[in-house]
Amino acid sequence: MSRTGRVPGAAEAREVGPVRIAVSRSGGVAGMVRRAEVDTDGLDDPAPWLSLADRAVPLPEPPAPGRARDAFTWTIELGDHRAVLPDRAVTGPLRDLAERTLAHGRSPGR
Amino acid sequence: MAPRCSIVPPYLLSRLVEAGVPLEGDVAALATRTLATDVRLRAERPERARARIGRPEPGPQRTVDDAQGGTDLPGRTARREGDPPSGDVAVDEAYDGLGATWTMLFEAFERDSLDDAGRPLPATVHYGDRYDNAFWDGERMVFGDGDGQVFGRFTASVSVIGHELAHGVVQYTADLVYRGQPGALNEHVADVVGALVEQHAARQRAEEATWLIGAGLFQPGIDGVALRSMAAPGTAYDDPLLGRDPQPAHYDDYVVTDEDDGGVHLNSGIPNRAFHLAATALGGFAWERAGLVWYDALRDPGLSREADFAAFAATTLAAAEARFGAGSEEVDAVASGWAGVGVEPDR
Ligand SMILES: [Zn+2]
Repeated sequence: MSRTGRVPGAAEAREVGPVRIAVSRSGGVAGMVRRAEVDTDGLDDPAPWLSLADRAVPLPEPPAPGRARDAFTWTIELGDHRAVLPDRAVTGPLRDLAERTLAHGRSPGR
Repeated sequence: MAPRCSIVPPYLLSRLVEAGVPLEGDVAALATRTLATDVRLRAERPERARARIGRPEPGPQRTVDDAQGGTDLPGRTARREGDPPSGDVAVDEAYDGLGATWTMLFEAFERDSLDDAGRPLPATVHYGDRYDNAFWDGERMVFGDGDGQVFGRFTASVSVIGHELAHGVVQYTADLVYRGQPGALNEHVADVVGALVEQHAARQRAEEATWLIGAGLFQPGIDGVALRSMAAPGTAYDDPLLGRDPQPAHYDDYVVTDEDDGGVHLNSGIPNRAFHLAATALGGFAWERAGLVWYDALRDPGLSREADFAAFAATTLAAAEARFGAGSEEVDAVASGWAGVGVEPDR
């Protein structure tokens, strides 16, 4: 199994160790938190994850507060990067990565 | 319009007149004048609002759009005000829920829509693919169909529809910052309105009501009754898939987190329970006394956008005193509500 990956945020792709991806989606009218994480290390096929992770950085800065209420809030950790973002700021490859992590990642602590 | 004389509070005058206390001279004249003005003002306000938008009768102005599983807003118009039922359950539930909310606001608080000036009420249903949420986007209400395993469609609960619309009312009034304690108060007010819409529609008294927010959203097999319980925060669900309802019911258990905009949907349990305690101590229709006090507090110009629980509690006490009088049972009920959840009002 390949143990190489790319450092998210690196201008030049470099061969390095695995990437940990941790996502929480909180808020919404239900106020329920869903959390999941993925270590690309333990995956049979990390390539799609690493490709998304590579394109998802740099993580966006949180936008100025808007008028939306009960929209989801995302907390996304990608290697050394961490961002807390409103739903509308999670777009493109970052959105794909975040949703993919919730759908296929494992619950933290398991 | 001339400023109203406010030496004797209107509640006191009404009470004296109702009690048949004979009034003499200036006081009698004042009472007559004040009460007449009060009645006239109340009658006039919706009138003004109607004139402004050229509407003959007060009533909701609803439009329900259908996003057809996409995320582009507003979507295709599915039902306009006055149209017959569309046959689409989510469209018709949204239409009816918007109507129930407008009616509660108008009949209980004499408020004509979100802005008290007849603002139209737009909603979009069938938003996204198995989307597990309903939200207010700053302009309209948006409802997902739910994933079908945990959640069904979010229009199924009138309290959730009322909750989303209430975020619009807050936006036009106190505009509480959506983070930390003011954010939890924003959530709290939305839950209060959501619960009152349901109770008002069913003509339910405080002691008969469920005080649940979002009852009926869970699919069969989920171990829970609703999203939240205002009567007993932290008890609405306990399910292997969802975990346990995390709402605190007392200020000692306030949750500090950077998720959920600082726990706005968690810590709202604390003021929710304070409201429930006040409303059930008073009994009867909750919108007539506790609800009115909260509504007054929300419109108090002294209430900061950044108000914390203690500041909001003080504003509700002042509102209860202004409307019902110092030493009234309403003031006592509000005070004991906040005491019951460990919030000490600002002085
Ligand atoms: Zn809300």
